[in-house]
Amino acid sequence: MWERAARAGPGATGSPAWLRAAGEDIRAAQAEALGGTEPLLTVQCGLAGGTSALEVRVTVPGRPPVLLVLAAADLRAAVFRGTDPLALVAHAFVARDRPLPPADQLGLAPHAPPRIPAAPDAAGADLAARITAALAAKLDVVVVGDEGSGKAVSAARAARLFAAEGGAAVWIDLRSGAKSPPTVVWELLRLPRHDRVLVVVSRRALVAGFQDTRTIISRLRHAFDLDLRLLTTDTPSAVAAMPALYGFYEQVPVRQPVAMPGQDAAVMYWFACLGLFGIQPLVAVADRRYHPEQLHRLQQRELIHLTAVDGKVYYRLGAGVTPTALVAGQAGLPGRAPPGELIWAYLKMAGADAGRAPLEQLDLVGFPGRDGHARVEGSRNLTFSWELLYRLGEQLDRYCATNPDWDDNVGAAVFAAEALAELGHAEQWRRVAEFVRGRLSYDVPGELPRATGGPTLEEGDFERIQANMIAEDLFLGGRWPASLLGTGVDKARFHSTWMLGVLLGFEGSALERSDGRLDALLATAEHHCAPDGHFYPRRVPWVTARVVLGLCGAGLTYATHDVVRRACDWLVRPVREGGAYAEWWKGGTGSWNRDEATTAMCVVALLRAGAPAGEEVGKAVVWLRSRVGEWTRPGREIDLALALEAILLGAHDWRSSYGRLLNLLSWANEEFRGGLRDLGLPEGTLRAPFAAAQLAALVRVAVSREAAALVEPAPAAAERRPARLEPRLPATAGMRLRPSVTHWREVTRQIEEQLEGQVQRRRAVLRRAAPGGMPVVQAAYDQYTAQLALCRELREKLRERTPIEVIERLVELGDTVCGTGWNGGLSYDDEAGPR
Amino acid sequence: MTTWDRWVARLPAPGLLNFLAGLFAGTGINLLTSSAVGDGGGLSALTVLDSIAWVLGAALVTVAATMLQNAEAEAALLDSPMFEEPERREIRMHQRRPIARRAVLLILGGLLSVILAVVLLPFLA
Repeated sequence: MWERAARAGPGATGSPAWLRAAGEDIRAAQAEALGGTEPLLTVQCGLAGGTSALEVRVTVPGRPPVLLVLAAADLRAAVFRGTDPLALVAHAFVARDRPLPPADQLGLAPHAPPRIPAAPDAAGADLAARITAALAAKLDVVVVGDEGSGKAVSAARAARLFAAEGGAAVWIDLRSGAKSPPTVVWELLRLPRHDRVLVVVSRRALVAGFQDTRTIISRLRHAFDLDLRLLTTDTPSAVAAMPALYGFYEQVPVRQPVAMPGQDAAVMYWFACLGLFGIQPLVAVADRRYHPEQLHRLQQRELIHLTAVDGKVYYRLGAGVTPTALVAGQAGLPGRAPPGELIWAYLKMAGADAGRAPLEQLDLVGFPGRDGHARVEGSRNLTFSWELLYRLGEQLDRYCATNPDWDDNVGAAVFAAEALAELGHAEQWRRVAEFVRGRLSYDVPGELPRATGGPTLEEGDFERIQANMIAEDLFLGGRWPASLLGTGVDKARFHSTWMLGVLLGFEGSALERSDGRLDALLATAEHHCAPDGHFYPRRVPWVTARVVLGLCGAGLTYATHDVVRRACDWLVRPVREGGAYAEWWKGGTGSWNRDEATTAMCVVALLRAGAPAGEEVGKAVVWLRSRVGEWTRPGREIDLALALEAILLGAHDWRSSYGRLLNLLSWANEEFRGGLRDLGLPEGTLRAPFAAAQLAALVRVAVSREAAALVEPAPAAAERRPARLEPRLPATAGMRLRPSVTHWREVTRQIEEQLEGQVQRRRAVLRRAAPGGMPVVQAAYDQYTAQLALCRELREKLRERTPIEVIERLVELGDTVCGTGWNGGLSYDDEAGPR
Repeated sequence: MTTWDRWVARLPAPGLLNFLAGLFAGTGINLLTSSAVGDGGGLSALTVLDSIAWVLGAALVTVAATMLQNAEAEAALLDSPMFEEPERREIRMHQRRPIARRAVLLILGGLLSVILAVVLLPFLA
């Protein structure tokens, strides 16, 4: 590659002759890749008029060409680094204005589909046929199935069928670290002409990158009028979690739903979800949830049976019913809540005592060794949380019985009502709701909530917020226009907009819905949402986050509601572009709702709304964790509650927050027991009810995540770790069992990629030097080349039973190349003792 | 490493050379303008000659700095975070070596010119 440009010599770099030579090299690279066949996308090169750049035209017959301009600097860098000429064109197509990254960061590599077993079983053949039918009907298709359910193989089989019918298939595997969008273009540039092209993206490991892939494919479709289809694979939980992304896709489930009449299937799904965790539901609870006729019918079909233990009557699943298959077959279908939600609903209906046993079971099953960690003896976090929460509910009940108007603090009353609704305490909820609905008027669409009969107590908080804003302005200088400075902010509008979000959450989760009020609030939110998505005041993102949370409480998400979408987009838009995001979210109100609380609230809002996962949330969670010393200070319980929810929802090691969850529960119980008092702290009057509302949600989220982790190892966690320990087979003399030969091969591939990068970079340097001219680089090149050869040799030796020497040499090589700890718990330290 | 290589490695950084060039050029031009507008008897041939010597020194040093800068840029293109420090040094040396002789001559030329200019200073009074 780049022979002609290199021949022109470094002195000619940037000259017209050199540019023409580089253009010839690009065309030659395409011709070489195609082996003389006609290309799908033709590349033509010429000099850009009046500039020292190369103009590349990418064309298909009958369509106007797409013009790309390759700057001389990028061309020169590509020639020096030995970057594939077509990769340069692909990069220019995808990221026109970005400079060319080093070759090893371009993320391009040819990918092969997984090996397809010679004779597919009936299910595999059926799935491939269903995928093919879906591809014929729609442009974008996702195969939905659990890890290891054969999605990739079926996708490969469908791709082969597609190719057999005259199409071309391009395979992109994101596990290899490839960057999907440039790889798609690069592969298409190397593809002979076909009427139809299928892009298969396996292992959608990077959501952001994957969305870019769909964008680039749409661009290619429009620019070249190509029949370009996209096939990908994902798990049911990921598909359910990203309706905004997968709404455009034809979804092909790996397993067909279990054939059962619709009503019965839903009831059996409920029983199966509880059965997954060994919960035998109380007859009293099942009877309250479902019609007795339905339950009777299931009993007659011997799908469920009655059983009595210690004088209480339960349902248990029939002998032939396997809960795992039932749940897997129906999970993700419309109307099927995640198992964790159903368990939580059951616990609330079952009460404190009946709820303890299943949680103890979750505690015991959920914690040990899924990620290779040892069992934590005595970790009864969920059980303790449940008990404390139940006690908190009782305290809240008692408090609301004597003081349902919360001393005229509507904010506190609303949060208490949310906690009561979450815990299912209908009677007290009704009393508090009566006060809230009477004290505030919010039934006129488009009008922000306003108090009837004079200002409410929490309005006074906004005086203090304004004072904090003024103090911040004095400290940091005037970063805002006059209307947003502490002195210019409209306190009444500020309070009403915040209250709009709070009330949306209240009405959305109401035990007795008032549709008129909820509709009016939704119309008001739509009316008061600025065109760019923020809610007043723009300087205070926590108001927008609060409204998003309220809208989510009303059941709206990023995928379903325009205001949620706009508000979430504004939250993640960088500050320099008029948004709110700056690695984390700044409160804008000084020491009232500091950056930690604001960031946590924004993270939770984005996660609850199901906004497309970008890097913002991950970065913010990392930042939040780095600020743990701030949000765990006494007096900042609101920050703590918010941060805990953000971590529970957003972090892959959410269990680390359980200890603090218990502390917060204990604190809230103490607070209610000792009598609530405002100590002059920010939001002093709101702290306890807010914490109670948060805690109820937190325990629910914790139960849901534990349940989800049991049904399927969390995909995010699986992606972040190189590998997990798997059950081991009995050892034989002189042999050491592998956790999984596939995993070993995966991590060996990591070493190989590292080494390939090292060798490639040095080869590019040595090509520029005379033989023996760079002895130090040459020595390093020789060393890495030898290590690469060794790595490949060891990879070839990885078998079901691998000799111990091979593994030890591999571990040693990995330690040398990637540093200690590279294998993420794959080594045998626990068996072999310290190395 | 040969003695010459050690010298090449110790060549001043382009930034320093540019700074010196600015200083020399400034001195030369300042000399010219202050003589022209001051009350010391106006411009003399010697003053003009001295100014030229300063500016010539600046020009030669600037050319040397540009050459070294280009070599650094070429080395940066080949560099990578994957490389060890000795490799980086070698890459930098490899890019400097072809232009080192010319750069040294230019720097020496520039310094000679400046020395000449300094020697001429007492004769201007």
